[in-house]
Amino acid sequence: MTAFDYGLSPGIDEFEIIVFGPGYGEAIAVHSGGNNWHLVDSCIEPVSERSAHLAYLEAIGVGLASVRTITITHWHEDHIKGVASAVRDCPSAAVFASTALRNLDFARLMFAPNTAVKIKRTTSEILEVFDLLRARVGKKHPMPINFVGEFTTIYRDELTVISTLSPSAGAIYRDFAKLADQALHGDRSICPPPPTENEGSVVLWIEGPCGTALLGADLENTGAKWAGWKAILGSERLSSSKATYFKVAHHGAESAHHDDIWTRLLDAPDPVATITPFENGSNHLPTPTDRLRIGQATTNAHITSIKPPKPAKRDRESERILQDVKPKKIVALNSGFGAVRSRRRAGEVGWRIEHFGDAGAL
Amino acid sequence: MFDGVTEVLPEANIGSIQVPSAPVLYEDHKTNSTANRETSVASHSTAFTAPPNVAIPVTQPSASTKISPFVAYQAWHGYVQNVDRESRTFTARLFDARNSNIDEMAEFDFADLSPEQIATLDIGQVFDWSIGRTLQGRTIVKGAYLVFRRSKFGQEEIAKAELAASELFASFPAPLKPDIGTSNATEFRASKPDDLLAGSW
Repeated sequence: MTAFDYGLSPGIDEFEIIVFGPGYGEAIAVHSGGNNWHLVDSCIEPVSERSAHLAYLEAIGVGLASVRTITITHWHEDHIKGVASAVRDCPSAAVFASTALRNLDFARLMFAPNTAVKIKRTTSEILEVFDLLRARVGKKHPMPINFVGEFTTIYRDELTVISTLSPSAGAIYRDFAKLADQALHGDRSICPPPPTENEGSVVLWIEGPCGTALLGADLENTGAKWAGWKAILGSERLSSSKATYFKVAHHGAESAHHDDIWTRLLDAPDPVATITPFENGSNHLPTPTDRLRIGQATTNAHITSIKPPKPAKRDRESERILQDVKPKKIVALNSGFGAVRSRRRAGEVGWRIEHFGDAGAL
Repeated sequence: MFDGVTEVLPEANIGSIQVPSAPVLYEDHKTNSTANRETSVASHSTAFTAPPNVAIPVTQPSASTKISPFVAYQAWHGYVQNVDRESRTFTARLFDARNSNIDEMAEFDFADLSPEQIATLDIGQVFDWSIGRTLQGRTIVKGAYLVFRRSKFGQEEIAKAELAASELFASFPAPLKPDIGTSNATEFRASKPDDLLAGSW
């Protein structure tokens, strides 16, 4: 059972991109045509408590053997919950991950002794992925995973090509340097490092007969011309085609914005823009300013959850006690859940957009 | 009702939550920190939220008052996400000990911490937080415990982690070669940008 009635699967000639977002999390499923599916990142669907795209594929009657690729764009918690189950349940899918994960310091972080194992959910999820993949081939063989950087083809069939636009070599260098700062500590508990600007994220470019799509992951700009969107936009390797669909990068944040994304990579006017919100209590994305900016760039923007954060439901006794000992603020991160589905056939003028659950127009 | 923590959260990893058997008053707490555990808020009394140097008349339980075990009604695992020393607050992610699908964020005031905890508060620290009741004599007291975990790892544990990390890293294949817009594909490698200054991250 899933949260919504998603109806039927797309036609064999239909391009589909569905983005799921619970308020803190993101998952994407792409049908590139010919019953070939691609999963990007993962979040949990609240009703089935399964990885949202797996629950979706099951709901529309698509067998998981149709999943060709799984891409882990980066390792922040809001993008990887449930990704291990996707890898486990889709054994024929090729797994791709940012080269930012191919790092000894990151491996050390995953194995760091920690008394509060339950809260190491980010690194433990990735470690589970690695363990699953290692178990498939044994320890004597290289792990069946594909670490990717910029401008690399990850999937190709007669009609569709999926390639990466990032991360750049310079971004990975800086990511590794940051990870080195998280080196194993012997005198305190270790948990995932704090969220930082995201330069090691995998941006995907999908070209097919029904159109071109840009999945921006969480890639940000940090000022350097050799990292983030500036590295993509400054590259001579960019395709000459333009995308009519954009999964807006990093939840619509200003830090992930570059005017040239909208003019050089996207097809004006009014490309479809889909956003997942980010709520961690003190940080709300997109901000009102972000909404205004995106709204000026396209009138065809959508968001997977329009609900603001609210307190979690508790039993009455706990609630009464909490009234007296409450911290300054306490909010649940996943107040809503929704999905934005975009479908398009070759020759169609625009995308057909559907909102599910708490999703809506931006 | 006050038979102890395990009755309230029988299946909830509560065994890993180090809740003291009785509330610890602020003044007691200041002298009671240990290498492996620090105890903060036992908050039935205003003494915990007022500055420690302000005298507020509070009727304290006498030394002979029987204090029943603290009964946790809800417990969380958490880690510090951000520390704002100007506003004297810290934000933390909380994970419900009984329901792993509930994620929360909380903002705590420094007034909920001891001076030692404030001095050493840092991003990434992990803690357990529980709320509940206890019985002091004939009075039911609501309270909360915020317990930082400060486990020291032995060399053996660290060596095991290093070995496991090295084995995992050795199993990684080389990154794929970028193949778009180039006729001379080579392995993708992190490379230091010319204009990157050391430590500029």
